[in-house]
Amino acid sequence: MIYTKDLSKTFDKFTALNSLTCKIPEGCIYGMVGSNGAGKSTFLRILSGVYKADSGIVQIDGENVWENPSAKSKIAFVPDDIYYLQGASMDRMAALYKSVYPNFDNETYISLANTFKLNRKKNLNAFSKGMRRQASTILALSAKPKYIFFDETFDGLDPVMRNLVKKLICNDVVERNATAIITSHSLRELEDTCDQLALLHKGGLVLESDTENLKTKQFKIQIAFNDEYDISRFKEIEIIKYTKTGCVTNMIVKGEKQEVLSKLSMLSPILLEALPLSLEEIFTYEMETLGYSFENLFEEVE
Amino acid sequence: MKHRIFNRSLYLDALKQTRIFTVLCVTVLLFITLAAPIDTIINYPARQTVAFENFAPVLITLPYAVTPVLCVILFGFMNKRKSSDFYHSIADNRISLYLSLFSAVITVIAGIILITVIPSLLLHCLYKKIFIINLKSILINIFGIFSSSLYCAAIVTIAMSLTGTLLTNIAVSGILLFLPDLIVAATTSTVCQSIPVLRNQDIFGKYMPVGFNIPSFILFGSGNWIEIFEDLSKNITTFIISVPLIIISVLVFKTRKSEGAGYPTQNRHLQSAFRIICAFIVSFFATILIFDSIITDNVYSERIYYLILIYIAAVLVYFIADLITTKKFKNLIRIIPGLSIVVLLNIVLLGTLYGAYNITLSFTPKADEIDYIRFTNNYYGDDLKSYYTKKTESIKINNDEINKLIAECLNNDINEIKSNTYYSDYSSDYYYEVMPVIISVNGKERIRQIKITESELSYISNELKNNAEYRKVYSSIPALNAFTGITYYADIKNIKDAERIYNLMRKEVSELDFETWYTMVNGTGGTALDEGFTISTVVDSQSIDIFIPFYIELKESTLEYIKLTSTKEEQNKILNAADNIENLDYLRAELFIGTNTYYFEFVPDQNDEGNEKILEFISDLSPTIDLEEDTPIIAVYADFLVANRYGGYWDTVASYFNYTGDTDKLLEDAGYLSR
Repeated sequence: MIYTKDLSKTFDKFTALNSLTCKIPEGCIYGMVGSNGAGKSTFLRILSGVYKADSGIVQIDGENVWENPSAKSKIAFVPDDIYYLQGASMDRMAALYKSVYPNFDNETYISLANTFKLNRKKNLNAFSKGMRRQASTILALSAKPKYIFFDETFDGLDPVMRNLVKKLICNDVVERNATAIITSHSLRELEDTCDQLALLHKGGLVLESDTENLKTKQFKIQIAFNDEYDISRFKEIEIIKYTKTGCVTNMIVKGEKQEVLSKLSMLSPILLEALPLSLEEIFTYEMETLGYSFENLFEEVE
Repeated sequence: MKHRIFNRSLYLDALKQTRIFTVLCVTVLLFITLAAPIDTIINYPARQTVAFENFAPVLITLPYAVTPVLCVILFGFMNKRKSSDFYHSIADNRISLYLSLFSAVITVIAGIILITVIPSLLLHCLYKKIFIINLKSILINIFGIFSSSLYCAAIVTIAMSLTGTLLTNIAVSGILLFLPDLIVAATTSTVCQSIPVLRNQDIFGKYMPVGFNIPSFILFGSGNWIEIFEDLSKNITTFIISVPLIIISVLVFKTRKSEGAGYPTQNRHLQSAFRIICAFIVSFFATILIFDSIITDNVYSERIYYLILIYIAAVLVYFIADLITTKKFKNLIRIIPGLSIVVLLNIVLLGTLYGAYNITLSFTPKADEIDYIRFTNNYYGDDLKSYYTKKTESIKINNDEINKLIAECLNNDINEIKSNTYYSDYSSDYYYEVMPVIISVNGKERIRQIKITESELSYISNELKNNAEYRKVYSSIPALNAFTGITYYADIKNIKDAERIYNLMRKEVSELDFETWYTMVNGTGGTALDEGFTISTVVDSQSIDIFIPFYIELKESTLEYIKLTSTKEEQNKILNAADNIENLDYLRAELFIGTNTYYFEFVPDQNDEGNEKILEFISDLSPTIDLEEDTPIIAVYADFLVANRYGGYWDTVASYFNYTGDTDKLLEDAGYLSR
């Protein structure tokens, strides 16, 4: 299990992580989204032992990660900006991985390289961006780590490869009860892969939930009445966003769908409709409540 | 997973990363190293000694050029975020990461040395008839180069761990490598110039590591820079100092943050230190000028102009250093207060210099306060005088008269320094020698350079001759053993003959009376051929070479040498001339022995002991030379100024010992005939 408590990290005057506390269970695919600079990459780098947290606890299976080869050997990290050793081929990188990852599986490595149709002998620096990312994913999966972290992994992959990588990650998690953390700006990439989703904003975890739960517990309501009303009429409903045009109101609400609909029906609306939300919409609305919206940013620019 | 300190795979991969550069280096260095002996073998196959300076001097580039590049190749990952993150994400600890990569740097250096040296050594051994290998010199230098590479690698990796861009890597490496030396050298040079009773090398320190030496050599040094690694004690110091430096480097690397990659320095404090040091380096020279002006009362408008110019340059460097590293103009205002630290450092420097000046000048012991005196030397050459000075350096002399003389001389020198008249004595007529003397007062030794006149020197010499320990040291030349060998033996064909003749010479020296040998060694007596032996030996753990010429006074060994290196007897004319020396006003003789030329010039004064010895020596040649038909040569030319009532005339006589070549050409070449 991954456990962090009050994790903080600042770069000069910029706070990347601010007292972040979370628990990520074993055998789960944990998706992490957030705005630029929210702290996603910093979080993964601290979990991987690349950065040292300024304060707080980071533990993998009860062990501290920083300067702990034993804990780090359980982790494979595929960063957003991939680096390979000078002049290295996949085989050379695999040799290095073998020395640091006790579970590195050569058969898996060869099999995956063949699946992705990558030349194992070729200089990795001659690979395209997408191929470099594929190679990195292959090496990470072949290492058979207990924890595998992907930072913006699907960036640069074509749709076919993106699906292949997703499938491989899912299989790995299922077969070995591994834990994967995937960060992305694109919620569409995560919603069909992740078991849990977390929203990071300004270095803090503002939302963490099961994917299914998120999808069912938030929805859009369109409601209208034939008399004058305002938001106070819906005081029993947890509203994330409220917009009223004429007599029609659009609301993003949280809660059990049936329960909310039942409560609203009792108000005798002339129109009541519940619409599902995509994850992207859910997170956009969540971010808006935190003051991070296109309108706000645009106003700041103006 | 066990907590390891070395990652073999990472080490092997690091070697792979450097392979192109390594192959390039080996190719170039091997080519240069082999080109010289091959050229000698083909074009100049004369017998010669091969010490490091003509064996593989190009290896000197290893510490200062190859090592930093290797460090940049292997530790350059710290300058880029993605590479830094990659290395730090590897399931390893930082100590293991550092040691694996550092080991690779050292392995490559060792590999380049071996791959370059071994073929060259084999080639030289293969042509033993041409090359006399001074293996000790080669090994000492290689050890020095390896130690310095270790030292430089540690310094460069410290600098790279403290900084995060190539520019600051280079700047901080340069500062760490050369700044201490530059400051010490410039300070001591100034102090010694201002206080001439101090000797530069005593302050500078004979145990300063070699890593410091290059800038000293360039700015303040004298001598051959190829000999920089000749001193075994400095090489050992360099090696020893490298160990704590590597430990410091590991610690700095361990505390380094991966996120520092791409930033000039790891934090603001280092950034401040960097620009302060840069400005201090420049302002330092102005402060030294101020110090010189204070103690010499030498203030003139041109100097004031330079002072202002240097201080303005220091301020500019301060801001430019920040601008280059941060690329932010807005910082320039913020950093202005930091200039006060530069000013403070200069004040501390000035105070230190002035303090050292006063402390030094206050040391004027009275004769009865001196515990003992030891004599040392300003310069250790490769002659017998230097050898004996080195050997007698540890002898403590407690002689009231010498103590009194030294105390007086030192007092005079100090008074001259105080009154600014020390150097004005150069224009006066009297001759003096500046002699370094170690004076012990209250159990503490201090070295002072003292002006001693010729008569005072003669007095000291006479006193020293009565010292039993001195006499014992002078009674012998080094015995051949594991640490002492003949590295040069002129035209003698094999080492066994050379050793036999050297042992003969050694026996003759031991039988010679002290007075004669003492004057011969100190250059005031004896007649020596140009040729001789070079003996490499160790005195006080320092490797030294001594050139011991063939002295006519050591007749047996010299004649043995002549016998071995000449072939035919035909010297009647010259011997006749020597027999009829009464008719001559002047005689100049040239002896061609082997491929060498020896000159004897003498006025035929029968009362002159030296002339008699030369004549006796020439006469003795005749019956003792063992002739060989196939190998020439002794040719003797002599110019005689024959006296007559008109003032005399020149006569040239040539004698040949088994010379079978073109005589006219030989005479013409010698300048006696013109076609």
